[in-house]
Amino acid sequence: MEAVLRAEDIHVTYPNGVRANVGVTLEVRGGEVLGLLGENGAGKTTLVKVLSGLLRPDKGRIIYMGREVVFNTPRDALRLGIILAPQTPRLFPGLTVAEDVGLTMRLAGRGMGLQEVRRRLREISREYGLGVDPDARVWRLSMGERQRVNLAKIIMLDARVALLDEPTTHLTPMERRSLVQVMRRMASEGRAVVFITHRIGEALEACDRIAVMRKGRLVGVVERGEASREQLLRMMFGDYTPSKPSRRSGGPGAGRVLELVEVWVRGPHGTWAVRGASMSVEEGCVVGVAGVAGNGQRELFETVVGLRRPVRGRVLLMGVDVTRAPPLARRRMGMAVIPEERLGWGLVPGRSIVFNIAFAHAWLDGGFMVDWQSYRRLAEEIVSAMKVKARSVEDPVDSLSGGNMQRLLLGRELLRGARLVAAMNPTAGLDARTAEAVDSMLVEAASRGAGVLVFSEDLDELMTISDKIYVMSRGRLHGPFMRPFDYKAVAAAMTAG
Amino acid sequence: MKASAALALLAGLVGIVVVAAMTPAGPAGLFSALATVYTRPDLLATAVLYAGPIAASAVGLAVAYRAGFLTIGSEGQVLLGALASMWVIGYSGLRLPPVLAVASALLLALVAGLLLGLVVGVLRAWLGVNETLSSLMLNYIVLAYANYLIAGPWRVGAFTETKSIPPSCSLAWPVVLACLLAMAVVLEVLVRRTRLGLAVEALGAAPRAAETYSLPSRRLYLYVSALQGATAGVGGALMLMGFQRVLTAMSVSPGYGYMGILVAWMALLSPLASLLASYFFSTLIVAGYILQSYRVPFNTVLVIQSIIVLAVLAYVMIGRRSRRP
Repeated sequence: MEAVLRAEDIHVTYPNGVRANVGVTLEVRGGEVLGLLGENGAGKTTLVKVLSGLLRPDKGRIIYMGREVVFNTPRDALRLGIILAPQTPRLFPGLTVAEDVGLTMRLAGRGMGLQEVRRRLREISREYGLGVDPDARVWRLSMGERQRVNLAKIIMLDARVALLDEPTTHLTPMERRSLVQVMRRMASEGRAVVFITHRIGEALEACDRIAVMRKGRLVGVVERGEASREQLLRMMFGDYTPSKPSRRSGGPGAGRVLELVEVWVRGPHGTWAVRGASMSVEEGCVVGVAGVAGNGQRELFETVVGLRRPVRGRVLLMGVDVTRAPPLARRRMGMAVIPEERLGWGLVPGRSIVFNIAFAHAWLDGGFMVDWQSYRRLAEEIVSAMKVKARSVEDPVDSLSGGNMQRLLLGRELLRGARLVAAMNPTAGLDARTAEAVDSMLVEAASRGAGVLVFSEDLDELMTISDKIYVMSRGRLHGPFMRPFDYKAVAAAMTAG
Repeated sequence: MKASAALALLAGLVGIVVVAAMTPAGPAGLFSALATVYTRPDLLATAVLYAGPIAASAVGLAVAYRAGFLTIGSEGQVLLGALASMWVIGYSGLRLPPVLAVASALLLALVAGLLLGLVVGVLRAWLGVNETLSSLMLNYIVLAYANYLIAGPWRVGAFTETKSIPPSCSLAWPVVLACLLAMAVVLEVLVRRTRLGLAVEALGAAPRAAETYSLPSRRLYLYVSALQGATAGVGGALMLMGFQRVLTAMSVSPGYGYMGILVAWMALLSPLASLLASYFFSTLIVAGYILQSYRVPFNTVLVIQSIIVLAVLAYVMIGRRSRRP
């Protein structure tokens, strides 16, 4: 097979001194799925940003179809048929799916009428089984649904090179399998597909070749037939071997930290997003809420945290009715929050690590002046306790990789001694090692006596860490399912009406 | 990327030269007028007086903009502040000794501006009304009210103008400077060192995170809108007692409040830096008055000010965005 796109000796150093790509040379061939494997911060995203014109390398060349090209903007790459689907889909929230796709088509120099876009989207959606509704508003879609819009876009654009940055992050196991099929099919049509992932299993399943990156360098490229799990692990982590999080005793039956009684919550469009949900989280327990995204999890989470008020029903925290209490009152009672999105929801972008520790504490700590010295010390403690890779606590949080952001966030929320921890997709987009670390921190919080409520689309993860699991489907809670979990029963509840 | 940032400044300079070249005075005339201002102590002192309403508006706006509260109500608040001080001194019937009259004029201007600012804040916090639009509308309301007072109840003599405030109530430049410094220092400390400043910053940069981590966003909008209105109101008093002395239909809308908006952004939302930027702007105004004798329209000054702000902002933004992880 012939090389469609070739990166030659790419070097990228960020202003904070992080060397994200160090002399990376990689070739992408037509008709193949090339896996790009590595843990968070290995430089995978940086590389595809360079290949798609989002980032200009300090040094290095990009060869497209045998000719050197220079991308000044992503649009230059788009016009050549190179498209990046970022890990967190960037679509226009206010547009319909068809309008958003139509806009991209126009930017790629292949504009067409809106009716035509809708018609073709429907066709592609049916043919590839993407379930994309051209008339849905983007802001109503879950991240998984947005990811599928991106796939539809790639197919509509007839892209020669599709760069998929962690496309499985927001997908359920079933959606993941169909994504693999879509990728295989795109490759069989002669396209080059670059599939970024940190899951070895996925890479082995979907890819023809697997390129492994570590600390900004390309460690090696292996053919599918020759790759073994152990070999890939060694390439990814050096001589590190991951372990399973330890389970502790204790569990249901203890005091109730959180209780929901027949809670009804309206969604963004006035429809019922949560229909009569009742559940409880006990001291020392990890409680999982499973389900496909968009079944009311976000609204339920926001109700627990205090960002959304239920129309009917009650929310009890340590036995106190907090149904109408704002987040501040709940945090005073010991609630820690790990929101769905790290930047913007959990952390304040563009500000330092110290600022990000301080802002979440300041209103609880009281006082008129801010004691920056003590927050600096606290930030340094958190950074060292959570092993956050940061050069200085004065660095902006944006300079951290996703995994390090999550460590920082967890540190801020957990090290204070929380009684209820509410976490939404806490391991989404993290590499295996960091995800495991996050999970064991949550389990540890529970073993110190907190009640931990985890929403996740990753059923395997929930089954590993939870003491009981509820399943959310179309606004209703099913369960609880108790240990030992019956995988089939839980999975069946996920698809139940 | 450094080069393109410098290019922004160069483009600004070229723009200014081109604009100046279109006036009878020419670029040389403009720069010599500026040179005159910067070499004459009396003109430098005058510039402090003119900086009063601009800087007072800017310091408060800087705080509001940090919270993402994009009000443009300073124009109306300056005007209302001026009306309030004029009432205390000229129309209240109180015969206060000068020091007390000045002090109560400042205080009432502050309160008037604060209340007007609070209207915008309440509308935003409780009804979700866009603060830019509501404050713009309020500006027109205050302007119309001022015109009514000047042409109607407050009118004296043949022209549509109010009484003139007595010389004993005029402010000397050190007093104006002291007022501005006090406000700027207080707000700078507020922004950098207090809990409120921290919350304001978080609210502006990530409203969702601020809400999740229990910052009282509604209350914060009220605080910043009140603060912002109060400083602009004081600006109105400084305008009246610093140099305006009389309110005429012509002088009610000189645009100092709007200049404060430009200044706040140019100072990158730092209250202290706003003082310097305002002073620079006000020297341009004084230079503009000198140039009027060359039949250069005064609005040229506004054009030049705007070009400067655009160039500075472009310079900063390009510098920031050149490389991002």
